[in-house]
Amino acid sequence: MTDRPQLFEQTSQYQHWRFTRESLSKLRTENNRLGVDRVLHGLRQEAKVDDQETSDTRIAEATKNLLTPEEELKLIDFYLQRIKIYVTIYRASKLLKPDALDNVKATAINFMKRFYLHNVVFDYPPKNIMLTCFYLATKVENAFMKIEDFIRPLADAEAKRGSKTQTKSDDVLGLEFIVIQSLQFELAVHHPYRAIYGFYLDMQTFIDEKDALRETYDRTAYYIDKSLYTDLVFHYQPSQIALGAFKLAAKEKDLDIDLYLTQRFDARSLELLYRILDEIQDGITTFAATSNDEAKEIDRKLILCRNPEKNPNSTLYKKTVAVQGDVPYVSDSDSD
Amino acid sequence: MASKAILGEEINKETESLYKKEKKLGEGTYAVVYLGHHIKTNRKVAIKKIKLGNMRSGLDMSAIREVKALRELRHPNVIELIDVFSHKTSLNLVLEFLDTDLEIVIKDKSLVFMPADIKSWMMMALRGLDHCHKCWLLHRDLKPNNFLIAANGQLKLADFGLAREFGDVKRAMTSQTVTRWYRAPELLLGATNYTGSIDIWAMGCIFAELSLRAPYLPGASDLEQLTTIFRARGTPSEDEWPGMMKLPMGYSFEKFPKPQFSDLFRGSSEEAVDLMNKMLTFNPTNRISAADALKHPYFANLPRPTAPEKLPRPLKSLAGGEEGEGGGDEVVSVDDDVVASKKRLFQDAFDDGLEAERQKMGEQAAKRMDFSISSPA
Repeated sequence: MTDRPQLFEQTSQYQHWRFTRESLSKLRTENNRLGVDRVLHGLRQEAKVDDQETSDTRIAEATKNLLTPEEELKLIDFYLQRIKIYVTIYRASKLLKPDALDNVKATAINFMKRFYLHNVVFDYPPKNIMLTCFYLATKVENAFMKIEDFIRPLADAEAKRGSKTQTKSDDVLGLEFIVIQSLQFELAVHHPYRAIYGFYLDMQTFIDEKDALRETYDRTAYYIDKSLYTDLVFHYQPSQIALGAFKLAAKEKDLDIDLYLTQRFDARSLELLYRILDEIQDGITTFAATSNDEAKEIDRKLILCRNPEKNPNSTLYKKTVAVQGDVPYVSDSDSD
Repeated sequence: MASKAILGEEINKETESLYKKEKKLGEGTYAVVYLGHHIKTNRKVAIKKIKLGNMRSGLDMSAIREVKALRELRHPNVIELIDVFSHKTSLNLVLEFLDTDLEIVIKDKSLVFMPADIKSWMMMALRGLDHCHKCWLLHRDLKPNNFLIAANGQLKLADFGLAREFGDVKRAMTSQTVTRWYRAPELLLGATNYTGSIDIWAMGCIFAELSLRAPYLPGASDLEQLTTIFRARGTPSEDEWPGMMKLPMGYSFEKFPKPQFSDLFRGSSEEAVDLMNKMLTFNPTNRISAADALKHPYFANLPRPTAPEKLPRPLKSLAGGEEGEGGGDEVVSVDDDVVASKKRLFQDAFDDGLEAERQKMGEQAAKRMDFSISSPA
């Protein structure tokens, strides 16, 4: 266990994706502010190629409906929660093996959270970004499926719902480069799942109540899942989150793990660890997922304040961007 | 992230603007390799442009694996991935420029290897591999031409297109990996749960190849590979490898006796043969690890490993430098003739004679498999 932290400190996750609460909030606020500027700029550009009167109304409406950083986060969270549902769909259709589920889910969620540190929902609404992050996660976690296989269950579900829109391969693949470049091409993500398994094995030599330990370990998966949607991953190491989730499960199952912790860590590091674990437990229990109604309301506003430069359905996009042929996914035709 | 830009697209553009592509070094089905340089520092780089035009499922697995692995690895004996950027529909890997590889060195019969030279290459290779294994990463395609050599003689582990993490006992992995001649017996028997020991087997084969100056276990087909191994190493007994029969393709094989290894490796010291045997142990559980191999008396005892810059290297791949001279100063000047004379174009460039030769031997197919189609491994 001794060289574990040092190794983790070499990972891209530790080096580039760690933030204080302040720096994270500052980044999101700044990102949102610049995003708003781009929306307004895009709409003014659109006014040049579109009818003056409709443009004026559009700008007025957009200004009234611009999303705050908090609203952006809520909308992103709503789609993060959907990843959980998609995982069960692919599992049912046997496209994802049971042993890959946790990692694919956690990586997809992590990709999406990282993506929106370098993008805003005005430019890229979360619905399709979620699918691209999910598909990329299957590859990264060695659970590759062909794009047709990936699309089929989505299309089936859409048909069943009687949905007007139908997800196509290009909706997913067309954003793959946008996503991977926003991830800074850093694809290895570490999750609490593996760490908790290590702790579980280690605890067996210290804790005699084997049944309670087993039950606690099983229950920990529930709390780890809850932790994935929070910002904890930007502040703490996977092993710390794992232990925090384990403490919550232990409380529920009435298992005392303090004995284990006092034997494993010296008094000084234990004091620090307890503080960290408290913060993590707090983060997991206080997190509230976005409700359907909230998401619907924010989605409605987003329709009015999208950046037309990035929206294939906007007048601006159709009249300028598409004309230049700068569509995101074409066959390899660049000459260099 | 030192850059002030927030948007993914802007950061990507900034990265791209740091480099200048100069000329094409080689082209394969999977990638084009360019010579280039960092505009501000003038550092020479190789830009590997991965083509995605005909990838129906977007970014393919070997590109994902390579980027995922190399972004996490920093070690003097692992090729440095300096930067990555995308351009329209191509993925560009900016790698440190390395101009030759261990296969070319082995095949260049004008070069004489001293035992200390082999020790030096083995030490560098094992250090790079040990680092990968410490990071819980399997390379899964070790062979001489995946060890590139820098101008200063440093050996660098490269081509991570098949690499993946390991250590999760619950997850199955493909046994269809590693180029045949270097493939461990458990893989040939269909093992789906394996560890760093598969890379060690390949290292053992490379160790033998460095001594023999020819591939040690050149099976003509996948089927024959196991027989080739047993003929060379003796068919393992039940005691020697207890789990063997439980593997998917384990059954009774023809019993070959154990030959005297010291006959074949006459030029090698007793310690060298001992370490080689420990790396080529049949039972993967008993096979030596990279970390322990580095602690083997072979490395501690005389002769001392040759200093990297003094290692033998092909004359024609050096820009005016001569064999045995310090390699630090010939890096900068790159005139066209020199570049053209460089045979080493990464493994994706097939237009040189060596690759053609290997293609004839049917060797290419095994390697290419994972580049042209997206593998479900």
